Amino acid sequence: MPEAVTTFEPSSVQIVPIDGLTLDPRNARAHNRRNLDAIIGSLKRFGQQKPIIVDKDNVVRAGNGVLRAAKLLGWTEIAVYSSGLEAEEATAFAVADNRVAELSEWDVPMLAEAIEDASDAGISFDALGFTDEELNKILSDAVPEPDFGEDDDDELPEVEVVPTSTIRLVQVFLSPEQHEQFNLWERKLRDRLGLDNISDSVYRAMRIAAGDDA
Amino acid sequence: MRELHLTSRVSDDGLPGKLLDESDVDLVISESADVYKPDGTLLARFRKKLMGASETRRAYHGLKGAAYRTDQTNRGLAGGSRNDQLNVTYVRLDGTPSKTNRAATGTTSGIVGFYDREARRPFCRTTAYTAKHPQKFAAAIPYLQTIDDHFRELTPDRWAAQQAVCDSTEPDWIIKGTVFTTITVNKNFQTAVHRDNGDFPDGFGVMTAFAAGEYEGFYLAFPGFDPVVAFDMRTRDLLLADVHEWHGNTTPRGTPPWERISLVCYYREKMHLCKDRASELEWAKRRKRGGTLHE
Repeated sequence: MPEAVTTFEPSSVQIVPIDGLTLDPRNARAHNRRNLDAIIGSLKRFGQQKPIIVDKDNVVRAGNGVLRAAKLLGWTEIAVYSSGLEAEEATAFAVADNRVAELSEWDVPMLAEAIEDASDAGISFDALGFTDEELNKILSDAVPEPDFGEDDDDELPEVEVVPTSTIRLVQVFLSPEQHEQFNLWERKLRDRLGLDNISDSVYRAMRIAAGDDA
Repeated sequence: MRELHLTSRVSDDGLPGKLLDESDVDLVISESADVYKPDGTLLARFRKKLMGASETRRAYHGLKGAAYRTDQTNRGLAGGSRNDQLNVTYVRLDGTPSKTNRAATGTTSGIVGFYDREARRPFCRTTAYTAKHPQKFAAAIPYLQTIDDHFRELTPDRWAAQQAVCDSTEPDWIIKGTVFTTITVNKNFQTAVHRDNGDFPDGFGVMTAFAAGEYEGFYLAFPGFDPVVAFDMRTRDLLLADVHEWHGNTTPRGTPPWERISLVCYYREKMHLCKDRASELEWAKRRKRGGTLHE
């Protein structure tokens, strides 16, 4: 088999109806909800910046997640590159495409600077595919520990873990009509149950509805 | 032990909100020292390497995550991508600008311990970091208790005043074995010149730091006096200071990545108005929207 050389054909990039494309049934890469949300965030912020790659039968060989995200966003068209690969070769390319990305590593200071630029430009972390927590972990790992000096021999006392706050908040999202009805029902409930506040009446009603009210 | 007596007060003009640099400072103090105001009252006691290594290490791991970087673009800050007060210009040791350190370490602030009632959350509560990471918080408590011990020994009158108000506060809201309710954790946060508020007026500022990597500056300066003194607070140092006087940090310079986390331990002024945990829940349930924060 000859060594592959560039086979890129600019004329093979085109915008096509999304319904004419098929997700790869043998795609070895699972796209969970988190991954799809990240792709959606990127597509919403940046649009499609590179074509997805399809074989000669319009089966997606690279970019299955992008196609699914685009469908979830309601797109009707998408840019594709028709690779012309067939059968096992197309499947193998799909694996290689994912694996090569997986093998690279972040240059953390450069990543940090890029994130800072993005943040200054008003681009949210979501569009970059990071959660706040992930970002803090990456950035924190880049910094050395302080020099604490020699550890002393003093045995540190064990301290009990403090109880967390006793108060938890729940938000409920309602339409204006639902909100009005909710208030009516809640006042009725309060009267019926002999309670004086919305927190207790809603909690008690749920408990009764769930059959847990002894 | 060095002892310094400042000679005079200077005008407040131009001080509030000013970001200081080293040219604003006459004397950087990097050894143990007591500093007195022109009227002879105490401005600060600074002690080098006073805290134990083990407790400091454990506290660092327990608290460093409290200064948490969040997505500034989600905060609806008008007219800019981040709060001006958090916007620090970083400079390398050779004087060239550095964006990388600001990026790599973030510039942020968090709260640990307990907090009093506010309009948006009208109940006394455990702060989010403490509630989410109770074991990390617990790991820092020996360190906080040692700080409290030194606070008592070094400034007994100020400690006693704070202890007195703690005695009249529900124990649910006091960090066990200390006279503190709350710890502010600042990471790479160059504060502009300000006076503290929201803390106990008769108390004292109690501060420590975790310093990592190679940097200079970030001195805590008191520009309301002549000469202007500033403290180079590093890992295991303790600074007790009158934070009701004008103070702020000088601009840092360093070789990335570096990080300076500072802790400010204090008693929140209104915590004595908090009821116990269970009663705070009942209060929150029954409070009318827009009603008063306290009975």
